[in-house]
Amino acid sequence: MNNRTRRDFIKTAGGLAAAGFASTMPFARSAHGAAPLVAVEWGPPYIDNTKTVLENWDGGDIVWELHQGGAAAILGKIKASWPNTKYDVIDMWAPVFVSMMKEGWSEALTVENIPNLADVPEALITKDADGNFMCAPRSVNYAHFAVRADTVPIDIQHIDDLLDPKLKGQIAWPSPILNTSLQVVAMALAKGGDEFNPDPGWEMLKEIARAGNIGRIVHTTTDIINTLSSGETSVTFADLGTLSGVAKHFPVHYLTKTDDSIKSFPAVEGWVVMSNSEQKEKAYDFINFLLSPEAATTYNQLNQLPPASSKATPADGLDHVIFSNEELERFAHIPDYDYVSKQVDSWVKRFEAEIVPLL
Amino acid sequence: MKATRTTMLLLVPACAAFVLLLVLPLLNIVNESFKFFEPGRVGSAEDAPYTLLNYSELFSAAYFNYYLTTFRLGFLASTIALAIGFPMAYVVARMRWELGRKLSIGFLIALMFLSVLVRVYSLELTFGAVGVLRPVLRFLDISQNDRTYTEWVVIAGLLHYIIPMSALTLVGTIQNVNPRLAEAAMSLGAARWKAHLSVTVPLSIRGILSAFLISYTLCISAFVVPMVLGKGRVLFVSNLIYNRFSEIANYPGGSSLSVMLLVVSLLIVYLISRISIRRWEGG
Repeated sequence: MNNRTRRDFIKTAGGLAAAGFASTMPFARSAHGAAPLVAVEWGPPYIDNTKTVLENWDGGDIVWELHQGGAAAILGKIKASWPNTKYDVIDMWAPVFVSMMKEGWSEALTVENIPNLADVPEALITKDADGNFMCAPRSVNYAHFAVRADTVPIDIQHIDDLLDPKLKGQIAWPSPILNTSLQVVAMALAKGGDEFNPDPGWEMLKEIARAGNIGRIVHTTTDIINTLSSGETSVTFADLGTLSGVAKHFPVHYLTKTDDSIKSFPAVEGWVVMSNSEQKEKAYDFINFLLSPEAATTYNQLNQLPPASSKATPADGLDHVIFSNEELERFAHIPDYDYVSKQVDSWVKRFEAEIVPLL
Repeated sequence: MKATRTTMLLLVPACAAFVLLLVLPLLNIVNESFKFFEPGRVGSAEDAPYTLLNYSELFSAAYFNYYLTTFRLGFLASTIALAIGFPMAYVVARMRWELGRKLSIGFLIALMFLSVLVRVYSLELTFGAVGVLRPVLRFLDISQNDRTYTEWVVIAGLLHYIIPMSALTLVGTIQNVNPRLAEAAMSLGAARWKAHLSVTVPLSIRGILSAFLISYTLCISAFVVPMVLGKGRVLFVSNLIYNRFSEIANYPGGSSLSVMLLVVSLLIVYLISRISIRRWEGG
């Protein structure tokens, strides 16, 4: 027979509720010796490949959170909760490194606390005014035009081919928050402009929109993979890592060395440690492991990305993004990411005001 | 007097929650909407000057069209939901088979528990560019890239949720209308349809208005439905607000869009309520 009274039940429930509430308090985290590392990563294939590599890491538990939308979206989340932000390490790319650094949210890194950082060419590392390392690069990613080779209706040889009527509804155009609108800069470069003078690019985008060639505006890397994989669209502008998610199942043709009018944009991608992290040592160990030659080789081969570490071995079949100096000059453009990141706000408004009404 | 004081005391927690969770955040949004935003920053600076720029940017044809699209599609979806939901509610309310009525209400409630993502992707896989209906649409020469087609798919996405919601709201209303009144009209020679239009509908007008306004509010604040089914071509103001807050960290811009949406929505709700009550009840 159960002799417990209603009062006993209320007491027990109250105690459990109080314990549950206390465990969510900020102080409770430091009281637990083995609190998990909170890491922010992009969705598949990034998260899957990072987890595969980390199977050999014995540094403890990791709680994963995924980026929602563009990498810069995480800035709003941090701002809203700063300095009580729960993140320890975040995977991001060049333009966002700068914003993080300016807000004082990223911790300076050294070769002493992350020894494998010594294998990364210094030119790839974002530095603050005092020359401190503010990120730990793990890949050199490229954003560029690409097509699904088995479904694209035409052979794209020039940027103007994007206006071909046969591409009606075939282009998955990235929302302006993706790639910090480098897709517009790419067209501006082909038409005599650049990131400082993007007007020619916007004019060409208007023509593409009017032609009805944009089938969908994609907001996330998952959107890109879905729309290309399902056959809804066949042309897009995306980064190598995202496209590798499509290339696993379908033939992808990277328009990286096709014509002078079609430019690619190299950008460093990697980790930052939050300056308010209470687990910096663990975060350093985590990054150091990922930058080790073995882990960097595995990750970058799985993701089909050129590694940032000089000791990692690149995957076979990356010829389309291994550029000679002459090819870099012809087919690639390294934008002023600091400038570009400041323009995204006005470019988003321009997209809303001038492009969407034409779709 | 004592009872009133007790009642007032009981209201204190509700009022405190209301002020803390709704009024203060809203005031914060209003304040933020007048602040100057420096591109590249996250939100406005503490000492940012006040400006009307965030609002003046919205007074353009492009943004007028975003608001118009939001309210127009919301209005269409809410009207269709009422047209479908009212007969459903009538049948359920007048059902004499007790178990059947309970099952019907349970079914409507269960529909509302269906995840919004399941709803939108089910529509996407049916009516989308690679949906199972693609051959049929091609045969009928309906272009899936057509804006009108995309708008109707968005409306279908909104209807998924608001039809059961409208029907459930109206079941109670119709149950409170005495069926003998319509029967009396019919016994005096009115046709069945005329008896319903001249007796049941006017007596249900407050419930119909409530169902419409709830549906309308849900529609104009919809986010996932236009984001997925709109394919980036049909955007609601809520999608623009999300972009401002989440993607480019322009909190002042997002706040001005939000405040404008709130003001225009309240105005529309007020006008619809006034016109409906005057028309049907002579208030």
